[in-house]
Amino acid sequence: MLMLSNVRTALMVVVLSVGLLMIGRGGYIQAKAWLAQVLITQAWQQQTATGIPTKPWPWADTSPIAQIVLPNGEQQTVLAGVSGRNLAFGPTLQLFTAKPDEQGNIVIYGHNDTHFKSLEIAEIGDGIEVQDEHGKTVRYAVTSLQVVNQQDTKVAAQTPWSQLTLITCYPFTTVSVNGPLRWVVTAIPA
Amino acid sequence: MVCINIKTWVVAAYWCALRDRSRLLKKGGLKKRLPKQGLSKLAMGALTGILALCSLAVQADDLGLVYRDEYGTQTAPLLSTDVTMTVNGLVNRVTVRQTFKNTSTDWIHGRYIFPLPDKAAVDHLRLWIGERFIEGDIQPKAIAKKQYEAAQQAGVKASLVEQHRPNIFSTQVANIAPVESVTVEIEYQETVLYRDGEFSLRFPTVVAPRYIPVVPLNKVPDVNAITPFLRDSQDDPTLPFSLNIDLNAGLPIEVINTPSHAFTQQKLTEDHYILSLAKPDIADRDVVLSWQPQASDLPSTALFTQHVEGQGYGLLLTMPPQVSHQANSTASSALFHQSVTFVLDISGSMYGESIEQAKQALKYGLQQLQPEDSFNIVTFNHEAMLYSEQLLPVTAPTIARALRFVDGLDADGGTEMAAALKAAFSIKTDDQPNSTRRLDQIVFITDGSVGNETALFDLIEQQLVDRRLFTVGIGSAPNSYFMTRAAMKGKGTYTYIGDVKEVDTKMRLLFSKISQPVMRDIKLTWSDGRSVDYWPNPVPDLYQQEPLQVSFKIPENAANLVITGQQVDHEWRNEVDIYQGLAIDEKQPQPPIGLDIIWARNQISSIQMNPEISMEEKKKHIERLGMKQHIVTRYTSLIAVDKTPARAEGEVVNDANVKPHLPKGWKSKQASLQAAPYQLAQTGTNSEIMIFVGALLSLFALLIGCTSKNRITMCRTKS
Repeated sequence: MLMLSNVRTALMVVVLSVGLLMIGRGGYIQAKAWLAQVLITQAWQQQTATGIPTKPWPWADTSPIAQIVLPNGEQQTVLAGVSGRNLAFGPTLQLFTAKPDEQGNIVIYGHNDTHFKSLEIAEIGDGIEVQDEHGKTVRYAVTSLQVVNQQDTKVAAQTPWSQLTLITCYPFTTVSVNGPLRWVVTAIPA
Repeated sequence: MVCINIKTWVVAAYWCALRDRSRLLKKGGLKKRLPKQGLSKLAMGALTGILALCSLAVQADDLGLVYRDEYGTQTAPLLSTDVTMTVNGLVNRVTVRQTFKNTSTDWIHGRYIFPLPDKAAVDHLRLWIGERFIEGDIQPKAIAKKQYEAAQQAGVKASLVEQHRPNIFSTQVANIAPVESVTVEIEYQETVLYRDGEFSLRFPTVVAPRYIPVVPLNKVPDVNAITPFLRDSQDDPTLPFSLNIDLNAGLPIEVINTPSHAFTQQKLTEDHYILSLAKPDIADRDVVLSWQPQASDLPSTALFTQHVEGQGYGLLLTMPPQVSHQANSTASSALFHQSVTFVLDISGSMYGESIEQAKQALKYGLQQLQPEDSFNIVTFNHEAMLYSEQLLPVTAPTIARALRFVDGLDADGGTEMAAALKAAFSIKTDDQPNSTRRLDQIVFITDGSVGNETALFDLIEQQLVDRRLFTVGIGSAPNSYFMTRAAMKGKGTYTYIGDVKEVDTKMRLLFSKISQPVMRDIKLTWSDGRSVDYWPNPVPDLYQQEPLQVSFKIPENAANLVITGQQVDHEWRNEVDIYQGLAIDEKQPQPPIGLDIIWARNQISSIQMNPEISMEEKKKHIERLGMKQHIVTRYTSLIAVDKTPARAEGEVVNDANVKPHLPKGWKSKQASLQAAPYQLAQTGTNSEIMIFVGALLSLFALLIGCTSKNRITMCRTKS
């Protein structure tokens, strides 16, 4: 009986620590995503006021490039350059297609559990706003929602016309990360 | 208590099962892992849930590839495309006739987006209405658009050809009557590609697919202007496409290859063939045609000249003497010796897959070096670090040590590219007495996420001196604008590696090329010392088997054209008499046409690529050239407007788009005309699930504690 109880205690300790560790790791990702947005938004405000590209923190290798208001009204500040590092901090703009103040395909990536989580409930006809570095805001209307394979890169290719493409991982709730599917929200100027 | 317990189990089992569902499916259930009775049913429930989820995911995947057109009532005009090509030596003159047929009972405006080769110069537009035609005029883009819109309103026939990207054009036709056909004829010109002893040309036929928007028309008024709809392969009739080629190679042809489509061939003479598409194919893939002249007739120099409105133009193609391996010397000693400085971006943006690709690329490069070469490595994030103070000789131990060093690198920190470039430029290279034979090359491996591009271009220009800068782009979305222009400034090339699997092939190509330069510092002058107006300018370095191809203006009383370039150990000089012409020119049965157009088109791409010229200046220059040479550019469009009204006021008119075919092989990367990432970036983390599962596990731990009789008191106080 005593032995069984010891096993039980040990099991409890192990399971509890694994549990807390997972909460910690998940929480860290969420906290980083949230805290970084605060700093990035500050940098954005300073940048739009001064006109000088401002790094959100001194050792950052990116700066904010746009602000986006998602269909649910959530406001996010977008970073320049798609990289794993940047994505942890905010939605990121693909640099070789259109910038928010240019004509073409504006492609923005975001994580599906933090910044772009709300895209799951986006609907056709929903409005999305993008503010460029000069403070000009363009309103877009969602025209298509689709799931594509990660190899179908044409959704992220340049277009001759103005278009906004938001991309995040699909499905939204899954235990396996690095899946092959992407949720693609396309919008055109309303 | 039991209730909570069961719920916990179900959810936990569900997540566990999700994580290793394949193993679970093999075992056929969760029974063994669940100690309590009755839970197997719940496990089966969970299993059903998983299966449902799987099937959902599969369905969702299909959704992305299946497109539906919600415009049931919208009818597109039928269209056929007829292409006629006339190849004269190096010049290909192409006529594209697009016929719009209105099959509906309403008046319509038709619009068709189509691709053309990258260097096509569109210079003629004719709008055919029955037997008569209206010749198009070149106008600044905005003015042409206004004229077209006015014609649309006024009910007269009009056509507008616009360029959207160097290789994407659109045609619009206003006011097509019910059941009427209208033909839009455009002409363009391009130079035939010559490489590795083979001439080739390519005709693209479809624009990469776009989505079908499913918003009602009234919500998005300009939807027709921006999105071509894809044809439904089942219901819509196919787009007939015909292609006829009059191939006058100017040289006896050894063999003609037509890998993309079947052609019928008719041989007129040794160097003159007539080809046509064997069957009117649908417009769903590029047409590729190539031909090889008989080996003994490989041209060393070909010159074409033409006078247009009193102004002379020339096009010169010459194959400089290749660097051959002398019988009495080893392979490497006949070539330049390389001193390569690798610059590797190890900033935070490279973290993950990118740094692994970059390290592989660098290691591959190191292993390509020859014993008489030398190397160094610069790594950088927010600061630049030199691997060695000076260039290192290539020996087995130095390479082995460098490979180990590269293996140990990790990505973190900011991106200070200027520091890295300065460090690379600071490495002394001139300690070899025989310096003309030494090539100073910088291979810059990065994802190019930088903001201060202009400052970097300035730095490259000021400090480059005799070096060549080759950029290698890594990752799913490198900044190709920066990479291409940095390479251009650095007189090198840009290589894009999108996937670890491509590292070997791409780096092998780059290294086999840069280890064998044939000529550099190529310049053109007139023998009387006058300067030549030639494009591209500057002429890029030539590598093995690459011909020199320049177009130029011929002034009055022009003397001989002198071409100079630096080869391994001597200066190459070639003097061409532009009046005598050459053997090839004399064989021409008719004079080549449109050299002025090619000269202008080459100049336009040089202007467009030049990072020194501001956008305003570019627009001014290109618009002026477009207007003068009558060609469609980013800032000039061709417009044809009929004088006689066609549609009476008040008649209803609809907008119709011609839906392009889906490119053959939907998943093919070639489907995309524009630069695209190799794959879409990873955007999923499982933070929420981690928190959720973590919470469940913690709860479970407490439950273990609670169910223990020894801890019964604690449990009571807890609950």
